[in-house]
Amino acid sequence: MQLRDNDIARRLIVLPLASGFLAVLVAYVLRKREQLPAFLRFGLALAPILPMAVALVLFHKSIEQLDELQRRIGFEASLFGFLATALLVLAYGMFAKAELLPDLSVAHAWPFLWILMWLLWAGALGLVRRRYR
Amino acid sequence: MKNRLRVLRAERQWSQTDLANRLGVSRQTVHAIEAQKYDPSLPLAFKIGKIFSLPIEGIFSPEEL
Repeated sequence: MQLRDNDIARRLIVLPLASGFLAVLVAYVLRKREQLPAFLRFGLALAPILPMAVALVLFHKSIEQLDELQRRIGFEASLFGFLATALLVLAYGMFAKAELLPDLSVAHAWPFLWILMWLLWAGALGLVRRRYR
Repeated sequence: MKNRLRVLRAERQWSQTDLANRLGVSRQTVHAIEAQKYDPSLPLAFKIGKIFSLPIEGIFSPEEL
């Protein structure tokens, strides 16, 4: 049984995006960490990991059900999403080193990196799909 | 790679979805093969040949031939 495109898109886009959004909220809350007890900070830090773990399992199950063309499309989109994110991070890092952009720490930037990576992946998925239409 | 998939399917009055179900692939994959935007793997090509009771070379041919 093949997964329909909409099922795949829903599983692979919505959960990670929801997780990214949750991560941004958690990062915002943790900025005022002095006011929160340790167990609550621990729970908040773990909060985005659960949906990501679910997304990972669904991602794996989805790949098993894809046919060869769908796998190729997914692979090309994933590769683009990963490499484009790496390129943008490298570019930002170089500009930050040159003191042309603020020098952000990974702890502050990671929620946005997730969102950036998934948006690039979703955009690439749309473009690659169009090529085979 | 050129192929006669669309013609063979039409002869049997199958929709792309019918053929996709028989092959166990998505309709998008059948469409991409018919539109010659995607060349199937050897196992899938053999499966297509079996469904149409034809050898692979009776369905697919290199572009230059």
